Amino acid sequence: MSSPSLDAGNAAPPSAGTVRPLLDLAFGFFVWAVHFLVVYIGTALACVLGLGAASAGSRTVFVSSLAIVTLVAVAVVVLHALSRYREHRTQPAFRTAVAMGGDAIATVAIAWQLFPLLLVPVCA
Amino acid sequence: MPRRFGFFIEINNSHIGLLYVATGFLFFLGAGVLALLMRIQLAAPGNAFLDPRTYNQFFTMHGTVMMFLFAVPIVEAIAVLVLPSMLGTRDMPFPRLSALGYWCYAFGGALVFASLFFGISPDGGWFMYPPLTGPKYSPGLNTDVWVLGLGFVEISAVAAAVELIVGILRTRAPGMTLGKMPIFAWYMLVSAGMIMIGMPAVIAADILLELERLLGMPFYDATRGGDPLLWQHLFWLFGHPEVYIIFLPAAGMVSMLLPTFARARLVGYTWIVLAAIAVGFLSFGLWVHHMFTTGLPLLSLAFFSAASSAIAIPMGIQVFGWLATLWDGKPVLRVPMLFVLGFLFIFTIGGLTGVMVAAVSYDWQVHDTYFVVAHFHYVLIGGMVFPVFAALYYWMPAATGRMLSERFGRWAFWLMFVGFNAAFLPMHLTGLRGMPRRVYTYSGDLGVDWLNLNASVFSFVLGAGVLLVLLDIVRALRSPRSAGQNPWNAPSLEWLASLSGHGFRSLMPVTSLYPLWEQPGLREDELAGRGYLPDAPTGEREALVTSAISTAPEQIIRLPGPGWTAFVASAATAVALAAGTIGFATTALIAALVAVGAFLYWLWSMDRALPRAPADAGRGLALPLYRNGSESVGSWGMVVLLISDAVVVACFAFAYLFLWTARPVVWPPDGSRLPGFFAPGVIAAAVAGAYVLFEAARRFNRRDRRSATGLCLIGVAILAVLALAIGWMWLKSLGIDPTRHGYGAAVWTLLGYMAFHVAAGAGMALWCLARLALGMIDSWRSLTLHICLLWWRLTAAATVLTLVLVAGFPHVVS
Repeated sequence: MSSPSLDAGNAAPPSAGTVRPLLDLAFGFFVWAVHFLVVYIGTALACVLGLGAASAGSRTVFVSSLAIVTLVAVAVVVLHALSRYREHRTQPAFRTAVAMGGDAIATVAIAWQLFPLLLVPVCA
Repeated sequence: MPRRFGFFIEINNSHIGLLYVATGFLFFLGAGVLALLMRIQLAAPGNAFLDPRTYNQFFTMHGTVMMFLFAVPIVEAIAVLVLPSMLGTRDMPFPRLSALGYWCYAFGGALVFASLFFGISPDGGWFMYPPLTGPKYSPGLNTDVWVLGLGFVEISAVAAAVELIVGILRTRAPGMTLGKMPIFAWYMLVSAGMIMIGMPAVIAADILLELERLLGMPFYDATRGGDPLLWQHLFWLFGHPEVYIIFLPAAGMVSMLLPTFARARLVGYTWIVLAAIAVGFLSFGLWVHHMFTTGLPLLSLAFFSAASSAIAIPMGIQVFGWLATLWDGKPVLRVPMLFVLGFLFIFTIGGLTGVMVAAVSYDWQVHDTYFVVAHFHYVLIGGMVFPVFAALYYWMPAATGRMLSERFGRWAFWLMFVGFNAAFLPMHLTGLRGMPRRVYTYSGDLGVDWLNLNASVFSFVLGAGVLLVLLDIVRALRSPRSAGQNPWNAPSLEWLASLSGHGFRSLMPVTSLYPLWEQPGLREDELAGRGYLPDAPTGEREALVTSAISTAPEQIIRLPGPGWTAFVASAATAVALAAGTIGFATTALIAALVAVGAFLYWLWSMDRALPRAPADAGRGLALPLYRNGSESVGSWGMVVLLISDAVVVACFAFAYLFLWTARPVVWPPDGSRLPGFFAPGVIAAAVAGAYVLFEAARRFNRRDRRSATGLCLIGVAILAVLALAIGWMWLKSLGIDPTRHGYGAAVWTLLGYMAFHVAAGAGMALWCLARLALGMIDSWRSLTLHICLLWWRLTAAATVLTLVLVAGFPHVVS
């Protein structure tokens, strides 16, 4: 009978080999969540702190900053998708497909936020 | 154990799952009766069948029971019942936790529902917005019943979610990799993850509401620095994802049924998995969708509007996947399939009106009208009730060995389908004509009399369909078992095991997504014991733990047998809560002591001594019976639970910060002293020191240095008590009154919650010390120590961050 090694207390950190591949499937959505919180909380705070009464230039700078954050988030997700594509020969096809498909949907969902950013007046 | 007590003490998933499903349907029927009574009231303008007060209680209870006592529990119940077999294992990994969750749900739900008969049922709407539900406008017990009863139910939902996540990730059959996992398991994994993140938000909101009602801490009182919108944010942070929490499992059921009845593989399995994950995440970006009329900045609303539109992408992927499966196969129109087709039709209409109300300007027009009532009933009844009925017809033979009647089923379906559409479609029009929701009557001038009468009549047709299903279930249960092993010729593993019988003889490796279709000889091999664990090396019920990704067998776990612990713990907790709510202090205290005793007994009986030698797992493999580190299922369960706990802390921190944004003035705003940094620094050092000592205790224990381990644990307890004492003195010295202003209430709650963690951590250190002294912890048997260490890891990090926030933020805004 074969016997796998026992975790007799000096255990290896478990999770590096397990949790990371699981979370990697949803990498794009984690970036989406962070981006969403940044633009939403950023806008709420800016309006609370008086951006609505500030000059048009200040508002333009603020919106431009959020647009740049959005583009950076999109870039991060796209780079992740590219890295998964490069590794696709060594990884199970299912995991590659889910990770890259998730990146694709997350990219759309993040970029989608450019519409309100560019079309809706801030703090109105 | 006498068999007559089996109802209370059995904890296996077949028993608990069936009880869970039956209880869920009972609540569904109860809430349905309330709906019919409301429809009688609304059949004509100015009707006096129900007075306004009773109507308020009925619509509140209808929503509350449907959402909290039927929708979420029933999908978890079905998962508890069928998932273990579907995954190729014998039970959930923590059967006693399942039992605790069920009994908490049953008692908590009964407590809330019974309040109807005493005139003290909740009456503030299922979302219980303050200030209506605050102490000023709801001084009676009604709101307390809701908060305490549902708090109990929420805990049971989290317990089931822990069970499901760990079960799906760690107890799948060998070979059932992520890409071969039944689609229902994927959906349940996402849904359980959403419960772990979403449910704590409403638990936190409940705690704050009860603190306001009980102790006068003004979180939601705008006159004292609170803000009612805080409740809306916390509630909908859970409430909107909840729609998807109940939709996703239903979609999982549909995705399991379609291949069976289309006689074809599910088209786009990978894409549907991806869509489920996408919906799980994106649904958390929609909560303000329910707050479009609250005066938030337009740009903020537009972010949520955009996210509401984006979620249409993964939803569309699923619908096209299902349609393509039908197209690809040769569908057989049996009753479950009828309900699936009904789901597709009704849910798609609900989805379309969902896109309409996702547009801010449109939502402003129809907010709080019957258009919204029609929309969410199309979503919830179409997206959840119809699939659950499909699942009921589908899995009934597996669960009970009996088929429901095809003839009655068809009648029931058409009554429900016609009744539903004829009742709810006109509500779009009544809403567009301006009929408001949650009002016990309406004016004849609105021109909606006939539409309402029509809705009332057909709601009874819908009810007749449900009644017919109920009668059919009773008829089937009184007839002999005659369904056979796999009457639908389904492809998944639950049809290999008899859910109502002994379960698997041996645990078979899986090589296909459709094992019963594509693995010839599987049934014979399983029955012949050619799988894993055909015998019981420990003489108890056993299951395999496999790795989360590769599903390689890693460990044999023993599954506990029948016992009173879960029942007593939940019953005593329920009595304590109920007695506390109605002011019977002595009874509440005694019951609380019994509950604490039951929980301590339960914890003490865990982490049993087991041999170090690997045991025969079958198929030529020997596996350990015990794991003491982070690969154990206990450790996984604790990590998942702590994630929820961290979300509660985050919600309290959010409340603190949100109350500042509501009135962005210099803090502290209540005349108390500006917090310094010295005392928080000392407290943080003490807590961090306690954590480091706990880490040291674990390291010493690994080397079998018992004295050093014990000293470290004593040090942990001393440092924790020191931190609590200094924290108390610091808080008092600041002069913060938790009842004067929302600021003080938020500070006390945040620090109080962390103090609870530190105190519990001190208790854990003493607990481990006692077990160490009694020889129940050593270098091998050390899982208890590991799990308590996980608690300290969260406690130390969260306490330090909380102290930085409470001490630092007022300086920032000053």
